[in-house]
Amino acid sequence: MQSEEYESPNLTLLSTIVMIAFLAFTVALVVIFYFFSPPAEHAGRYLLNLFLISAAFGTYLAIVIFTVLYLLAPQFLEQLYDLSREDAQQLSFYLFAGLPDDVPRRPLLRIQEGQTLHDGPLVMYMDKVGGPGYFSIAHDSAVVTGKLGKLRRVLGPGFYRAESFEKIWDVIDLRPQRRSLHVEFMTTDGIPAYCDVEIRFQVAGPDRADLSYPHEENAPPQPYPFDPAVILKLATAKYVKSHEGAGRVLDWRSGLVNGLLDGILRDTLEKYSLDHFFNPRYWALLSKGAIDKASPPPEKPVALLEIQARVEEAVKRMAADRGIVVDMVQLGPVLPEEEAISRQWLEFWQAKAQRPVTVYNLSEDARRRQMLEKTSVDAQVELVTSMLSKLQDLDAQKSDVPAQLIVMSFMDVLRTMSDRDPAVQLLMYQQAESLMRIINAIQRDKPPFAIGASSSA
Amino acid sequence: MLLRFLVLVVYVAAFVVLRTYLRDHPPRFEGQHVYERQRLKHALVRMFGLLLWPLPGLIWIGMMQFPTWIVGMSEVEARSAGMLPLPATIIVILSLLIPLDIFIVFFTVVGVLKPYSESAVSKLFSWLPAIFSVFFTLLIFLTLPRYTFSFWQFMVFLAFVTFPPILAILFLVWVASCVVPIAPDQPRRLLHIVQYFTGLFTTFPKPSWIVEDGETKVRIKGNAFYGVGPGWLMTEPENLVVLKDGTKIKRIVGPGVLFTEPAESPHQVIDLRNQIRLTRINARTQDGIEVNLPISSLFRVNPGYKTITLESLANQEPWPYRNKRDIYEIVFHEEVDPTGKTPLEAHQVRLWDDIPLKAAINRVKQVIPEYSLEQLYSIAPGTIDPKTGKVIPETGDLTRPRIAARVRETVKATVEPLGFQILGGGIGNKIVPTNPEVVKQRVEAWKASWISKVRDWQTEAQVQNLKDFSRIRSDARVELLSEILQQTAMKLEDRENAGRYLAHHLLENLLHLARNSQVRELLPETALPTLTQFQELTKGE
Repeated sequence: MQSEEYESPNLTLLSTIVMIAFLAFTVALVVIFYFFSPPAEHAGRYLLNLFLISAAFGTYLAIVIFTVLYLLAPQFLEQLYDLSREDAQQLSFYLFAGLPDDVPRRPLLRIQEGQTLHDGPLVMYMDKVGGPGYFSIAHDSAVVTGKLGKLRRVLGPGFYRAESFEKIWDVIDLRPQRRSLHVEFMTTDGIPAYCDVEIRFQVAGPDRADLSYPHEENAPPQPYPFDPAVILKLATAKYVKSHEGAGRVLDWRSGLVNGLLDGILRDTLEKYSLDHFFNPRYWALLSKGAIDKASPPPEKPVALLEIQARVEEAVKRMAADRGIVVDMVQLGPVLPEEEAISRQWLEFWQAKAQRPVTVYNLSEDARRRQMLEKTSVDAQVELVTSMLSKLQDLDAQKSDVPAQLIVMSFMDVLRTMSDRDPAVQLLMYQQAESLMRIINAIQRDKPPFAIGASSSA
Repeated sequence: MLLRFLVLVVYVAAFVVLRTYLRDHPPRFEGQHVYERQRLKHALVRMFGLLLWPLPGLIWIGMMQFPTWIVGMSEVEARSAGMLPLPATIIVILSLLIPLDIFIVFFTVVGVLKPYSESAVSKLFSWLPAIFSVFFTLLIFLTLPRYTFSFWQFMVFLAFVTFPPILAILFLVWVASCVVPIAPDQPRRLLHIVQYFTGLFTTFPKPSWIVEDGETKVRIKGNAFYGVGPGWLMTEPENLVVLKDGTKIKRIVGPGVLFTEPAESPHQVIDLRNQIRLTRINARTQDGIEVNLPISSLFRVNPGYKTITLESLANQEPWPYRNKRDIYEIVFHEEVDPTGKTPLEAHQVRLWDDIPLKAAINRVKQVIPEYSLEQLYSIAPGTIDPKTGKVIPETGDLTRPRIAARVRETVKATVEPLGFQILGGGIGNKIVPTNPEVVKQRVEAWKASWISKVRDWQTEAQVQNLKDFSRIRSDARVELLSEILQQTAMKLEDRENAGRYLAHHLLENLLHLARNSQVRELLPETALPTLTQFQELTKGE
């Protein structure tokens, strides 16, 4: 045992006391037994006997120290902390003598990726007892330590000496976090629906400007700057859910995602009916890229982006109070629950909604052509029938029908049709000039004539 | 000399063997009462037996020579004159007794031989072994004047047999103060540490508890009533522990580490952190529909005005709570409710952290019947959209949070006087009718609304078709008339026969139209002959 290798003076002091006691005893032994009462004979053997007594005394003292330090204290610690024998001996020695100053530093408890590595090679007793030892905290974590039933200190990334019985109480992961959440809710029309949401967040730092890179080659000194007060706040703001079982404690991440985000999103979504989110025809058309101007446009569902913006704003504001920076919140589509409205039904419904649209689009041209054809025939029939009716009336009145009467009858039919149909009327105005010119010419240049009679006359 | 060497070798060898045995047979509390003599024996053997203290003393046999240089005669002459050298028996007895006296006195001081009561007689009785041992040693000392020996040599011998045991005890106290985790402000700290440390080796200690994950776990088994030394309890930074002593709740301790007093044992752990409790209950709406809804309650023990800050850490302040009265109120408010428990558990109380949730459940069951199922899912009041006549969702408030707020108010009024602080809670998730048919019905209504919507859309399409049809028909008429008029205008260059020609041409056009097979089908059978007849009439010469 080299006293200068350990941090505590206890071992040095003990060694000194024992050494002084041993030397004092040996000196007294030799002086009293050899000088004050010299042996009568066999001086050499006598000195050997004194040496043996001195050695016995030294052995006696060594056994005393060994017994207390390597048997009694380890047995006590072994039971108190449920340690292995070797760990208990190490702990006992380090508690008394302090940690060795030489490298490698041990025992060592590593904290990285937001958790304590309990099975590291140098951990020894530290996961159960705490210090004395060392904490090695990676760049991505910060810890709160506790000692003897009280919170002790907040430590950021670095290498620290753990005080006796100082344990890791909580670890905070400083890296950005992403979580997905499945939020179930009831629409205002009482239909169970769900929405998947993603959130990205991290512990708030004191000054994000620390992340600036002064030189391109240099890494930032602290990639995840943190505020010890925020770390303490997050560590002590956990929620205990039950007395036992996995996940009995909701940490700051669960609190944000399962508590805050879940609540805000549900409270927002439950204000809408299912139709606000889910319009089968709209999505069917949108997914096929088949929104056709010719067909009636489907009603667009409520803009999820607007809800997302509102939810994001609310979550950001409330998370900031907790010491968390929320980078983004992203909502997935809102869909009715499978149990309520099966996917098959939705697909069927979408197909059903799509079918008439497709059929409509495909048949539109053919129908238009047919319609044109039919309408044309109808118009011709209408014209011929109307004209025929007029002519038959003329025929019924007299046997000789003047040509002008036929023309006038025709004009009458045209007028009647134009009166009935604005479009024809429009045409008539366009054609009026030429038609009137023809008719006027007929009426002015020639007297009225009878078709049959004039010819015969 | 050889014998002395052998003694030394045997001493070291015996130490190695005994150390292995003691190491492999650590002290254990077997659950039975261990009487004082047994405790003393165990403690003596397990703590100091390894020193094998009588053995080194044997080396001294024959070392203390007859002091011829003092008496001025040879040993034979002195013996014949009645002077006796110090016998080996005395050396052996003193080598045994002096360390033993030291150890027994030590054990008596630290309470291994605990008095049965606080009376002076009882205390004296507990000191009897030490008194007896020391008395016997003194008797040995009283025999010493009979013998002739060098006083200084005897002093060296005494130092040999006395210093190591004393060093052992001092060193043990020193080491115990290092290895026993205890706060520095504990009263009579060092004595309690040594008593606690020693208790383990008597195989009859008081228990040691550690609070982990909100539960007390026994680390060193023992007897809380009669065990040696104090008990020991360490909490986590966020826990309080209510201690009882057999028949009564005694005190509240923590957070921290402390020694327990005789008969004290943990009764209950109180977690000072934020708590959340969730459950689902069934309730009936105003319209008689049973719904299943989640209830949550967020609360904690009232922390008072203190908060946990970096400053409180620096000052080593414990986790804050308002006062111990709150804790007593909370603990004594725990109820025995056999609902849902087995007959064996029926007498057990529901723990303190069930109280707020229980209050919330009762209130929710009162409030839900004030609302119909429609109202539970509705939003009101809010701004009405003039286009649709419905509430704009963003402007309205949900019924669910409003019910939650009512429940919270009641829970606050009920449990905060007990020492709780209500942080939130209410109805935290969706409200689902227990009868799936209700949901099914609503879904069917939604589906029906969609069917209606699609029908509307199809009707709209038909209306549009009709409009299209009308437009196309109009177009066709326009086209037809336009064609007739244009052809007529073009052919009317000869004005002399224009009237006749015009009539003839019009009739010719009509005939042309009438001869079209599609048109002919729709015309009366007499149409073509009649038109032909008229055309014949308009023919010129």
